[in-house]
Amino acid sequence: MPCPALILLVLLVLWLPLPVASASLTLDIVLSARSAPYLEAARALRHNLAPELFAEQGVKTWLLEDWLARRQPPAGVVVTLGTRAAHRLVSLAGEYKLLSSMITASTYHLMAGSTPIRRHWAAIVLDQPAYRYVRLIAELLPEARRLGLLYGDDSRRLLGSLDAVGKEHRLTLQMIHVQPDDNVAKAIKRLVRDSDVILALPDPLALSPQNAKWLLYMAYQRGIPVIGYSHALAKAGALAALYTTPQQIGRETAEFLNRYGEDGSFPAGMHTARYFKLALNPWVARSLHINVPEEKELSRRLHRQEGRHGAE
Amino acid sequence: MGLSKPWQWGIRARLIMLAVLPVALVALGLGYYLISSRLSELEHGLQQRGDAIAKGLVPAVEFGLFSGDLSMLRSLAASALAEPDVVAVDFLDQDQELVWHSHVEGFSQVESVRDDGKLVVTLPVRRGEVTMADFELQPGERRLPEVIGWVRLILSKEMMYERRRQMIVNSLLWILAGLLTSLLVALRMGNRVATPIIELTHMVERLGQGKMGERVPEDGGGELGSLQQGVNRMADALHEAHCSLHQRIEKATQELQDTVAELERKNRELEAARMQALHASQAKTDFLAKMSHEIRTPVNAVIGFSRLLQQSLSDPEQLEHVRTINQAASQLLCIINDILNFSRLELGNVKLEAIPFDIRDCLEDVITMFRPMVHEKGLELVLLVHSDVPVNLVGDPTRISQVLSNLVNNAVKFTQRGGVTIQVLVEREQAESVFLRIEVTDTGIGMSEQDKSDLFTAFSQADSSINRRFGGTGLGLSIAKKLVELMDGEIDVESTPDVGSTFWFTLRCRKQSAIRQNHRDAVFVGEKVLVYDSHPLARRALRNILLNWRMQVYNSGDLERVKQVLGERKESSGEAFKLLLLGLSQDEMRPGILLGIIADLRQHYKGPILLLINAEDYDLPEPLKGDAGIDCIAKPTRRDTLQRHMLGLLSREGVTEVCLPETAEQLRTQRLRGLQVLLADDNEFNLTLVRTLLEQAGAMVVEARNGEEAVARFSEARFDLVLMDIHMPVVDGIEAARRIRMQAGSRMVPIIALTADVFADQQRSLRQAGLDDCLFKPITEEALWQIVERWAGTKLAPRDMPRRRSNDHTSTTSVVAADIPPQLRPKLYAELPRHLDYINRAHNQADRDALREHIHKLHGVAGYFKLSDLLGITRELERRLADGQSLDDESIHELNRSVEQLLVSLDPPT
Repeated sequence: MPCPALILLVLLVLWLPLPVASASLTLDIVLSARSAPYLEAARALRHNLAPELFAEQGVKTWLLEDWLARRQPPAGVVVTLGTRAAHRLVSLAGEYKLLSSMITASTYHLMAGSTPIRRHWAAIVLDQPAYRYVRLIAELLPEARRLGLLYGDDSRRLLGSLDAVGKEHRLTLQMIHVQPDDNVAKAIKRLVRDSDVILALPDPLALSPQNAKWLLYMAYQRGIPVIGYSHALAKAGALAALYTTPQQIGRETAEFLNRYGEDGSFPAGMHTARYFKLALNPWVARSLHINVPEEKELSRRLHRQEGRHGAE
Repeated sequence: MGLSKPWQWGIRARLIMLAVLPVALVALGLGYYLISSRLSELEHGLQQRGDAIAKGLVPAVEFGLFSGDLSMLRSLAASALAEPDVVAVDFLDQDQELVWHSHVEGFSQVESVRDDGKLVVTLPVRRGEVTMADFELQPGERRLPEVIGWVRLILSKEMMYERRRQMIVNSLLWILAGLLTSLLVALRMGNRVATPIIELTHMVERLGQGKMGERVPEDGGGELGSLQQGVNRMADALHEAHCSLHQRIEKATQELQDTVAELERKNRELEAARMQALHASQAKTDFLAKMSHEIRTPVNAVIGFSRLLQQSLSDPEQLEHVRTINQAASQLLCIINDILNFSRLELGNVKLEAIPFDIRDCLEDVITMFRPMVHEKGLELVLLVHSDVPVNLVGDPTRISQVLSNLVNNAVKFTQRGGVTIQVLVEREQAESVFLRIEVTDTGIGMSEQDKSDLFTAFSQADSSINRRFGGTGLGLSIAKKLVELMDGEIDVESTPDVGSTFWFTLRCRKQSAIRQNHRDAVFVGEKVLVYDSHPLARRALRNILLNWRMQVYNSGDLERVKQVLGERKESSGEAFKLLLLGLSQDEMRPGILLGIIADLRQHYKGPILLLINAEDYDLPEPLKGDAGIDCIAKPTRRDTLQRHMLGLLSREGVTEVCLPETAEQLRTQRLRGLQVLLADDNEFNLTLVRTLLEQAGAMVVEARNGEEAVARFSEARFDLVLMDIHMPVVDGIEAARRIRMQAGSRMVPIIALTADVFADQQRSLRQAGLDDCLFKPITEEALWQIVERWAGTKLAPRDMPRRRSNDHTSTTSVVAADIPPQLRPKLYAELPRHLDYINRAHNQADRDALREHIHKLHGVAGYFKLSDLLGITRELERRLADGQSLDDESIHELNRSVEQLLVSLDPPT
């Protein structure tokens, strides 16, 4: 007759939500497309996975179509990179944990609103939190008081936090709602007139690539700096921008998975990017006669404010 | 006058064309290319500028259209209008509704879009974008940005056209300027190149015209300079050569003139010398003729009288003296004949005949002549005509006999034992002619190589001792050589001292087309005959004769063999021999031996036997005289003689002759017995002479005094021989002979022409008329006997023949003495005036033919009687008439004078 202690040990092993910090965790990384951003994110993800949690052979990278056509059962955890893969998988049933990474907040909200909430579903979005923008503005434009922004339905959710954080830094929001049929030019003109600094939010309903040009142009004409949400915007004429790179999102995704592997936690819901980069446009700063610190210095400051040192 | 063709242009034009044409082509081509490129560039440039302005406006206009900022649009339009060529600017919304229009002054908006002189550039204004995201999270369709408006730019082409015109004009001007410049340069360069060359050309032309002083200035550089220098040097050299040539020409011309003058002088001298030589030659010929007559006449007289004396003497000692006189005279005559013949040959007065003859007859004449001499020396004489020799030939039998006689005479003279063999062979034969080789081989003293060197040179003999021992003039072989060379032949000798010599000569004869057959040759066809002779060549010669008669011949050189064969073929068998011919040597001729031979043969053979002996007069042993089946003849024999004796033995013609010794009288009176002769001559003297000689020889003579009578006489009787004078009245001898030949049975009768005409063409006409031979006047006894013997087949040769016979037509030997016989004087006294009357009448009537005929007859009379003066005159007159000359009165008077003097010298008949 087996030893009771041994039996107990077995049951305990079976029952305790022992961390799945074993090499038996399987992971499927599903890419929306075979393009450089996704490949970079996937590479960064794999690179940052804890090998003791995710064995090499247990991690597979798939293209969306290939993953859908596979015959084998999915891995224990499936990570999607990009909007398309997220949209597709979120509607699929399955017991695996789904982590939609490298999407925007508006995409998340759209998916969350259109499909039944899935169990074991989390998302890591590329959007920056409001306070990060405000801190940046405070560092660059301490005299600015009026923060103007165009918003649509997608970016409405951000307004509350922006306003709250803004107040802390003596910034007043000048918001102009834009609808699809509105004359954006007039809105931009008004916005530019009434703002000390303009924040461009990743809301396609509010700011299209066409409108963004005129926003930058008209803001430039009035001498109003624009803070953007991408390196491209900084290059296009924004004074500064905060953004998360694919490598950063991949790293953050890996950390999320590592935590899951360590303690089994898989917090559902949307998670904003922790890792970010700062882009400054010194020409715009010079044209607007704004003294800006060194980009690295400013980045360090921002990271320090978030309790991280050089966490890039 | 049209343009000359390019390849006919001068050097200047070519140079200019060479310089201008490529430049023009390149300029035009390049100009066209550049102009067309520039034109298209202008247009393209306008288009590009329009596009560029419009494209530049598009992004600037976007905001204005986006924001509706018309002031921005105005300022943008104004800046566009400031561009050259832009005459209007339109900004349109997305529905192509005009938002803003600006134009320059004077521009009509209404026409702007329809005017072809305008360029309209319309570009869409699309909504510009900035890249907001660093990467696309959701790849979607790429769509063209939305069009929010249009920019329409209107450019005027006026300036472009103006620029185009200016550009074309400028280009053409530049091209023209370039062409002109190149033309000027080409002209200048061409002149610089062509002018010196043209100057050189002109200078060369002037040089060619003889202006040797011309030079060109040496002012050119490079190749032209070298050319100028070279041409000047050439001109110098030409000038110098010209002067030198001119001098040489002058000198040569002068020398030529001198030479021509000298040649003319020499020509005159040569002509004079030639005339002298001609005269001298003629004088020599006349001298020869005269001398030969003058010399021969007395010598013949001596010979003739010595013969006459010989006939009348009986004392042996006196006979011997007369014989000696005769021999000496004959020798002298031979020497004279040699000298005269040599002289005639040297003068080139010997003309060859071309008459048909039988080579065997010619040879038999010669051997017959020398046979007595050969037999007297106890030698063997053989004549062998090889069976392949064509016997009927055309040539000069007289000259052939003359050459052969010379060689045979020498062979006999220089041979003391053995014999002399004459062979005739064919050296080579062609279709119409044949080259014969005649060899005379002796077993005489021979000669060394040194002796042979001058053998054929005149007046040389092999050895002076020979001259002392054997006599002779040393001319014989040189005469023979000249005669052989006249006959296109060669002559030479092969000799070994003390062994013997072989003299040979070649000659070319034409073959006779018509061969005269002797019907008598057919009588022995098929008859079997046995021939014996210990001499192989003699046996072979006899065999050839018998085989030619198509007899069946068995021959042997061994008597024992002969006996054996005779024993095998009995007379009763069909194989028996019909005749036995025995050629006997000197030993076998001895009576005792001959009797033994005949006795042995008679044991086996009873038929006829013909003995051929080396003797002229042979007395058969008594026992054999009674044998009618035995006969003998001398060898080598004539064919007809052999034939006659064979026939006699075989009783074919009933003619049998027994070889009996004959007296001279018997010989003389019996030699022509039975011979029927027709003698036709209008000259009584000739008639009398010839008739007397023939009748004395036993012949029966029928006379005729003209041709018509001769034809009539011929038809009335059978004749063995016809002697026909040529020049006769009524019908001449030629016509008479032709008529006789038309009579049946006349072909076998020889007709001999009696004539003094010795020209070759006349002899040819005699042959063609049917006459067989000629007997030249004045007639000699020897010639008469030879002719009769040749043609009548009668043995007529007298015992002592002279060593050579001469048929020299210039010989005027006469048979009678210098004095005219008294019985003939009246006739001569009557004949001379009669002939003279005929001559005078013919001269007065200018009857050339009659004149020639009667002078010829008078010449015959003069020749017959040896009237030398008259003979010379008539000969000269005949020659002049034969040359086509006419006789003047003086010549006839001279003839008359000569006759009158002669008549005076003759005692007129009482």
